[in-house]
Amino acid sequence: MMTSELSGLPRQIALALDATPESIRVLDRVAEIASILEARLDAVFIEDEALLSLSEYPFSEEISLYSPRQPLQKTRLEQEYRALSKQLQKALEQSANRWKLHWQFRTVRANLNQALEQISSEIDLITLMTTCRGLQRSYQFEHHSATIMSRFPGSCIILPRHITAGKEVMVLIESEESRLPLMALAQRFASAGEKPMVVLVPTTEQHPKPREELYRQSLLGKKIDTIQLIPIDTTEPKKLAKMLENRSVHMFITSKSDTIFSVETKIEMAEKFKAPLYLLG
Amino acid sequence: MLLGPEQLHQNCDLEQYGFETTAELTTEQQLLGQNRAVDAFKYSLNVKDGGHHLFAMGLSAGSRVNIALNLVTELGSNRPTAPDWCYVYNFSQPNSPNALSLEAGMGCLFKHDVAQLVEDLTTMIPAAFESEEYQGRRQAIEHRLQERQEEALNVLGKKSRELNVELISTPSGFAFAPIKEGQAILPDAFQALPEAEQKQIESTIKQLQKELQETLRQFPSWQKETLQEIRTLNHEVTSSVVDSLIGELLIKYEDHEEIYEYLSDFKNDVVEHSASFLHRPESENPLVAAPDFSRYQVNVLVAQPSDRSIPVIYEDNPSLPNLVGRIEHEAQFGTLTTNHTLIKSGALHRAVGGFLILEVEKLLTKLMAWEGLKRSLSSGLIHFDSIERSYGWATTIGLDPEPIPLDTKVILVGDRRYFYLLSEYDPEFSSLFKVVADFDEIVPRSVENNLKFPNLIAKIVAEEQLLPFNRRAVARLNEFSARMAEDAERLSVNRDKIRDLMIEANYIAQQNNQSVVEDSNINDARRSAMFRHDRIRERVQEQILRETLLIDTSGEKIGQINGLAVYSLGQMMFGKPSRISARVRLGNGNVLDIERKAELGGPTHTKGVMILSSFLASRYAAEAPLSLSASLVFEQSYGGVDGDSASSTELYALMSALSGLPIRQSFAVTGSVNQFGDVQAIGGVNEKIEGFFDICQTRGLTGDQGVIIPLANVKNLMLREDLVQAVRDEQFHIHAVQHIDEGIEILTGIPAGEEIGDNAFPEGSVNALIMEKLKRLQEKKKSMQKNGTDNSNQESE
Repeated sequence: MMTSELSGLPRQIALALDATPESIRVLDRVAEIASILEARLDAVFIEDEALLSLSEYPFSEEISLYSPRQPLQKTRLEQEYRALSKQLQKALEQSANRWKLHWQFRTVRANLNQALEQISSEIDLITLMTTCRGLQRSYQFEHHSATIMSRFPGSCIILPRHITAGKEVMVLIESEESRLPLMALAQRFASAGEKPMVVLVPTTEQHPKPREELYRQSLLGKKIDTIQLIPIDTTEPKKLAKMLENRSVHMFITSKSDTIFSVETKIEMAEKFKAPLYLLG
Repeated sequence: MLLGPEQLHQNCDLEQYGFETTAELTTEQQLLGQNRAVDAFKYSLNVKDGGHHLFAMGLSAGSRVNIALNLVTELGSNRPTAPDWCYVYNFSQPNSPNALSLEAGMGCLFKHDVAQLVEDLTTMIPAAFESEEYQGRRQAIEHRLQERQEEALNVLGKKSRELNVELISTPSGFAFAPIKEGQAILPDAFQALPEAEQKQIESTIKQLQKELQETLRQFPSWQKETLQEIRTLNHEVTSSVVDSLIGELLIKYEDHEEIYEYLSDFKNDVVEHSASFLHRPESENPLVAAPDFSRYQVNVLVAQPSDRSIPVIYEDNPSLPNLVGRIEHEAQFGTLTTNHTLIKSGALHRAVGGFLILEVEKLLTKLMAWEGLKRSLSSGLIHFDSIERSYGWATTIGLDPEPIPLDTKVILVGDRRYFYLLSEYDPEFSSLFKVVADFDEIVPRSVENNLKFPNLIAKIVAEEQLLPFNRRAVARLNEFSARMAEDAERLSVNRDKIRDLMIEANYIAQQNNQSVVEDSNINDARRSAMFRHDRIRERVQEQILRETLLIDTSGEKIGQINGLAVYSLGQMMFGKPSRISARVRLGNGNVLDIERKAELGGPTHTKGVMILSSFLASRYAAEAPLSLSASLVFEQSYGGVDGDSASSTELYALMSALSGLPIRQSFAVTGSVNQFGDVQAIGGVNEKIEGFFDICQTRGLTGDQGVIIPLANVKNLMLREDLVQAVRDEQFHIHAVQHIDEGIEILTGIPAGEEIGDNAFPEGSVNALIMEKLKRLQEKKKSMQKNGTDNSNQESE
């Protein structure tokens, strides 16, 4: 279900939660986003069947930082899931009260892929945590964020593992087609948080200079005092990182379909910024 | 000697007073005739020695404190200004708060400076911790840890993946699962593998599990390192903030070594506890306390007055905590807690550098107060003693504040008996209170003191905010003061009684819409006061008039005489005539004191009877045994008799009984007698005379009535005006005698008769008649001894 910012904002946002500490950390931030978008938040805690099946191996042991080695038992995993589920629900309730949201919390036991596909068929915008770096966060190792995102046709919000509260709303506009819907979306986040907007405009060979000037002219007609235009003359991730290394980004918005920068690069940028990445589908 | 009216009341000479009312007079402290006490004050207040505290005794209870306060303020003003004292938290020994001394007036300033510093820190430290710089540095540290951990896990994850095993995250930790070509081998598929392959996978996973455990074991030490790095960062950031804020104070107080040290410790403590300055979300849980910065508060225990005057403290309730201070507690969820800000000063603290005035009677009646005061005075330090700790009633952990040096002169005021009791029974007392100021209650009615007296009245007028007293009223108060002193040549300086009379006179004057208190108001006030206390006297007088108590005021009786006694009941003193009777018979020389036999006579009375017996024996039976037995009794006396003021009276009664001469009942007699028959002074002469006069006056003055008093008591006469008038009108007479013979002549109308040799007296004289009676008794006794019928020994028993 494709949602265009021109045609309307998403009415329902799904948040997939799993048994990682990051789940509880991102709740409040996603609640804030849902509040700004005036959307209902549908949090789904997934009890991964594949993980539960680990206990069926004869050699399965769970090794943790502060507990002795012990056999991985399904009943204990289930108990831990239930406890986590309650904890997440309570945290969501508090965040929802703070941001005055309509919300729903449910727990499903399923294969992670299937669960996500099911969720994506029901909602306008899916929110995922990145699992592309570091440890695998689920048993379905191949399904990192990029994979899941590519299967979901609508808009996505990718949440890096570390999120901080930044100062700017940053929007990356890679094509003329996506300029207006991205600007509208960025404008909404900037206004709600009273934050300045930073617009990244690639100036590559495919996008000659006159286009950039035209774009600047169209921006100057709006709120010049809250918008900063940054031309980008590289697609190299390292150069880009260097160029933007000291930015304090609160929300990073870009198009899911534009391809000057790959989705992986965009996710990497979001991780650098420690800000949620809104990929407009 | 018959006394004239001018000898009965010494009026105050109005001419010596050159003022109309007391409004014209100064109200400076006027101590009448108290040079000895004032010298003692001067010495004690100014001598620099720990043991020279002062005990001021004498004067009335109500005026001692005021006089001491005035004298201390006047005479002790040349002491150097004392410092302020503060209690601050002891960062190395929290249970022992430190005492800091500052120049006078600096205590509150220091408190304010530190409070401002803490307030600034509560703003600046959170700001520093919320700054981008701090957050960046902290995140970098934390990120390094994460990267280190992730790197370790990634290395293991990579290795495991090469071995077709995936490291995966579980809700509580990590586990390994087999994979094949990037896909999970699910349990069912695993079971389907050949046994050898299963064992190979299992072996690989067991090895990886060991390696994972080894890897995870390193995490706590890495976290510890990270925490230490963060702690160091926090220290750096907090130090930077504190340094920038505290620097100014360190410069300001660089000359105060103790404060400089305190501020240095303060800084270290803030750096150590920087977390308590950070903003915390408000909690609904009451057990989660808000940040408490009381450890950084300054408790100004002693703040010298802003005008730098020497503190003069009077503690009305000298209990132990009110003297040495106390440590209060706060209840928090059922537990009592305390800290240095709850240390409260005592009177000794407030008087540091000055003077403390205490009433000894109150001090001695308060539990442990005297002990606490002595301990402080002996050690020169004010310890926070408490009753519960002294007795071991409190076993909880409390504070033990650093004691403050005691630089205070203590002035105890009280009755003389306490001074003598403490001197006798408390060995420490004399070493601590080496100076005594002994105020005299009675001072000479000299010209100097008479001239100072109106200023005393003016001062009381000012203190009590009374109407001005005119000259006559002051003179009347002077006479009242002399009457209180029971001496026409002395003044009583009992300010309590003078003040009471003045207040009542003022009240009467105000009732009459007067603008000035007059002498008539004084008279009325005395009458009113007397009336209020007069019930017992009236009842006694009523019983005499109704002849329940038998007192004759006319006629003559042998062996019967009117004696005079004084009753003191509370604030009232009055005289009461008592009939004394004597009977004689044959005997062996004993004078039987019936009062003593009945155990109603006191020792002094018994002594008086023995003396008069001796006089009788030596005068009338110097060379032959006294062959009589006599008995003496106070008629209708049921409450006991003491004193020797009736010994002359008893002697007159005996002489009458022996001589057979009747005594004029229109007279009453008072005076003690010695072995030579000399009449000696007694107390309460005015009340005694007035007591008999009142009876006579009520029955009707006949012109024959009067009183015989010792000549030595003439100077004590300050009699009522109506009595003086009766004497002036020759309706009442007062005789002053020196010897018993003068008295008996007045009482019998017969000459006493002087000895003319060999125990011989002129014929018809009282003494001659007594001798004749004694000779007859002697002869009769001889005759009875011859006949063997003498049983006088038995009778005398």
